[in-house]
Amino acid sequence: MGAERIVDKKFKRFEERYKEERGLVEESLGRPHISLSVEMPEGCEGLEEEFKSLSQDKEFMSELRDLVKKHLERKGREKSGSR
Amino acid sequence: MSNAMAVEPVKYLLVYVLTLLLAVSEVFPLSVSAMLGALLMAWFGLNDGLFTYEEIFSFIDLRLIALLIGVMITVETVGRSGLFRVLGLYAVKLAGGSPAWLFVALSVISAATSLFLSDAAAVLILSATALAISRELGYDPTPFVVASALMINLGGTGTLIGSVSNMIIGLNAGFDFVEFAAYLLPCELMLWWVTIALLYLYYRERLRASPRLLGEYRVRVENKGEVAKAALILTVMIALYVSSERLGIPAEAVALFTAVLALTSTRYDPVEIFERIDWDTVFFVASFLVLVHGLERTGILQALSQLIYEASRGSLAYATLLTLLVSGVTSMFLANVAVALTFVPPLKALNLPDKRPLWSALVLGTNLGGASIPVTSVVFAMAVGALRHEGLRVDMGELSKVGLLTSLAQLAFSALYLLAYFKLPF
Repeated sequence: MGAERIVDKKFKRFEERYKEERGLVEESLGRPHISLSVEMPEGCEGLEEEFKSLSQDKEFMSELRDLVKKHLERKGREKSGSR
Repeated sequence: MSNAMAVEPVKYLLVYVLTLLLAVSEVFPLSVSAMLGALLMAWFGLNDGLFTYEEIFSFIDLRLIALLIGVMITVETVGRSGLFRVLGLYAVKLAGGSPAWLFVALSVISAATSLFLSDAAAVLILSATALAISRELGYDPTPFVVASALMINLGGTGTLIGSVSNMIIGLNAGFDFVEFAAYLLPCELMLWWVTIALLYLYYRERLRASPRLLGEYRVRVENKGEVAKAALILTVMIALYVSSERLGIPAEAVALFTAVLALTSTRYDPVEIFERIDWDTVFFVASFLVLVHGLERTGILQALSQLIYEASRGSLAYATLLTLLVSGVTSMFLANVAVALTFVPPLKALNLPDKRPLWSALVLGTNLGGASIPVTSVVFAMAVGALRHEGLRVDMGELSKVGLLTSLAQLAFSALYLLAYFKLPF
């Protein structure tokens, strides 16, 4: 656990640049990419650690991708309906 | 030098050790640990009359600092253009969908990128590329990302501007760009293939996925003009370094000229470029120079020089192997810049007729030992951090094993190379 904490601390310095670079690689591959900043919702006090580790939670990321897909599909339907 | 050994050297040695321990413990950033050490060294040294206030500032090698900053500005500007991202993605495209060829292509482009970019910038680009592509194809990303980090550490070992420790050693040894490359670039290029073969053998089971096609994979180059300019700046930089000795232009002057050329010929905001310079390393080097030169005044480093001479029984071959081994192993646990700065005065003081093998051994030791363990290596930690950031589980023990095995194999190969290249008799 100690080693992982040290590695995460070293990576933290470069995290924003990594996210930026990851986005640029995705763009270069023809896949648009967004980075979001999400505030911790009210009423979730005491769950700070769980909130901060959400980006590494596979289940959450899968649910988020589904949400983005559903949202974009709805937007797509609205767009084609308005034509 | 007249004050050497006239003072009690133990407290100075303690300051040095304390600084290294602070740097390793990560209580403070590297720069702050070294600044604290330099402050204590200055305080004791001034009180003991070991050196004067003016001399403290003369300990900071401005030529080295100019070289560091000039190279950092140039690589930051060139890196920003996306040139290396585009090259990396084209290399991946050339490899097709085969995991084995993808592994080789990413490894080669990682080392090649690191010849020109800082290790930190290179690892950001290549980790992002390796993760994006391996996930796209459904391959295990760990072998690609780890190989990329280890190859980035290796890349640049053979050039004067390839790493901070190379700049320190090269300037002190009096090597120009061509001379440096003549001694060390052949070794680096051979090590590329030794390392790729070793890592492939280690990860072969995890690279046995069925080849998959990359589908509609097209590399998009948004800013072709900036990419072309970056390629031109790099070409001018290499041409100037190669001819610098003949033209009588010192390496730091080439670095500053190229930095100004990069800043004036691109459209990036200089303030943003300056913000991204690795000031932590610049301040670390400046402060550690005060620490090392202070220590030198106590006579401790001359004693170390004598120790190397006696341990090697005056043999250049033994002294070279000893320098390679000690600098390589210490660089596995300590910042390799600190190791390079510490070794410079004893090697300079060593009473041997030809020191080229010793300087070359120090270059190889400090570079190759630099990415053995994720917790002590920034490059390795960044790659592992990227894996963890993507939600992948990493086994730190296994990664340390891979890093240590690779470093030890590289050091063993380098020992044979130095003995053969310089025809060193025992």
